[in-house]
Amino acid sequence: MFKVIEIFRGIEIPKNNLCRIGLSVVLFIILLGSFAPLIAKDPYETNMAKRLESPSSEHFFGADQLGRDLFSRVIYGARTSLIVAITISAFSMGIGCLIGAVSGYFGGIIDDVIGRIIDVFLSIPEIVVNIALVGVFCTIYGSSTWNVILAVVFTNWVSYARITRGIVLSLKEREFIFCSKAIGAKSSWILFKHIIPNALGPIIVLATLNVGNIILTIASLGFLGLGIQPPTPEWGQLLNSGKNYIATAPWITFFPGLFIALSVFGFNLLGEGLRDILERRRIYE
Amino acid sequence: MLRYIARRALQIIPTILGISIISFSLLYIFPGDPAEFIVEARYGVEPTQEMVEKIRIEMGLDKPFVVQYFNWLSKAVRGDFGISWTEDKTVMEVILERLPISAELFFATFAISVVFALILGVISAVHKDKAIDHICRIYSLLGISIPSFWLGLILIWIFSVQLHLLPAFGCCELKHLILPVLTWCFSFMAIKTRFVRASLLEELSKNYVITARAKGLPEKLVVFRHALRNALIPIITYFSLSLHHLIVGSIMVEVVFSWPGLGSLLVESVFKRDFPVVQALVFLSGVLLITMNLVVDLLYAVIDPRIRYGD
Repeated sequence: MFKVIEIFRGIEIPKNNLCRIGLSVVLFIILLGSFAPLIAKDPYETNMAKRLESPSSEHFFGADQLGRDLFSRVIYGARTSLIVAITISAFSMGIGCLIGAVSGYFGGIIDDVIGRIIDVFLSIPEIVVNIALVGVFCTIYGSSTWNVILAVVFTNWVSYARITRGIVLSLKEREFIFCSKAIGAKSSWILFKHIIPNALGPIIVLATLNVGNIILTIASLGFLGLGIQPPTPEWGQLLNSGKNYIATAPWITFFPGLFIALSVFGFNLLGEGLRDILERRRIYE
Repeated sequence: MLRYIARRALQIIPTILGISIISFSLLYIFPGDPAEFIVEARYGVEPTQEMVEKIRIEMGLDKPFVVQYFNWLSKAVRGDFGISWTEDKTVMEVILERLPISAELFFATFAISVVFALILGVISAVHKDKAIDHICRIYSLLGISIPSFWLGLILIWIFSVQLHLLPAFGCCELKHLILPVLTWCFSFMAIKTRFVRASLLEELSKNYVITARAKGLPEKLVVFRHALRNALIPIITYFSLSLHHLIVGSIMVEVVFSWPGLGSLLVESVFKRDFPVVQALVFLSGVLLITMNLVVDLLYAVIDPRIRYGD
């Protein structure tokens, strides 16, 4: 954590407009998700008497087709989206950074092979493969959230691998790595003590933008009916059920979509802002 | 030049092989017996032993993975992806039926986006850090953040439900095209506007621009005659790269507006478990992307000889 603050010159984060707005939006969504049980009511409680009820002081966002409180479902949806997106991002980061670092650091034939694999994964259309994979996984294992996680990680790790590989390749030639080697440091020591900390900045920027993207992907899969299955509330899936009632109950469509857009926008702003800071720091140095 | 073309063309072969392995494995890991599934899906009857046996041999499902893969690959490179599991057609026929419908949506979006992205990007770059630039930048961030399926539904609500101006779904007439194109343009244009802005700004920061300004050229000439012309090289490259969206580029938009193109076909096939179609779509969209990359690289070498010689 201190390392992160140091990399982005902590004090600059609140000074950067993009970062400030982005961070507030992201924190807002995270707080909503974390304190969902305090803010919202039971998102699973159905009440057919209130079916498709319009927004009121009792139900801020109205009620859905089963009379469930939409506000609660949207708030709990933040929880689902964030947990799944961060899980996917963490897995991808772990796998991608490791593969990228190994490839860049050892070079030679290992790098040739991994480089080719990275090329292949960069040229597959992500969402197409995600949809196809979720479809296949559903047939094999039945529907579960892990299908979504596995399918997205399958295509998502590659951006981390590419960026880590690039950084490692450029760091490898620097003097401090030579010195470290000369003193007799082991590969693993150099990798974990020198290379990874130096690669952390760009990777954090990537991860921030990536979480936004993943939230969008999860919502897309949910909207297609392939994502996280009901009754667990998830934004894309809420939209999917809302589209049938667009003429009579547009609020079922409106509010979940607004929250998807807001959170993706927040992560994108924050990522852009962090990148600005990082680039300016590089110019100073 | 010929050597350069040949070398670049050879380089894409391992990548295409990789994609073919991924797309083939999609089908291979299908649980249970595909032959039984095909009999049920296609003829709607309880599969008998001999029917299953017949299909299994017909489709070569009794052979080991490697043999099946090479059989599939040797046919796939000739455009033969086998027979659809749920319809009595070849996979290629199914895809070719839908391709023109997707193409219509794609080219309309592409044409409009290119024009407006250029205009917005240039305005944004010329007025860097002014109000209009901030608006353009916020738009391009919104464009990548707002989910297209949500935007599509909101447009349906406004124009179809409230105003009764345009149909919410259906296909192939001009009035059906407006809403999907509008929806797709919103995100398609956003990334491109941003790219045009960045490319032009980079050119504007170069020395020859300072020279041009110093010798007293009017700003209009500096931007349009000098900077924009040079910026056009990466811009054209970037625009032509996005041509790969022709195949399955707009899944969400097509699904929202029930536009019967390749994106809808992909989703339908996943639900029907018609995996040969899914497999072909994954393979084709990957190959198209790689091919576009290659074509763009070659074009680049034609436009800018430095690249050829530098290599």
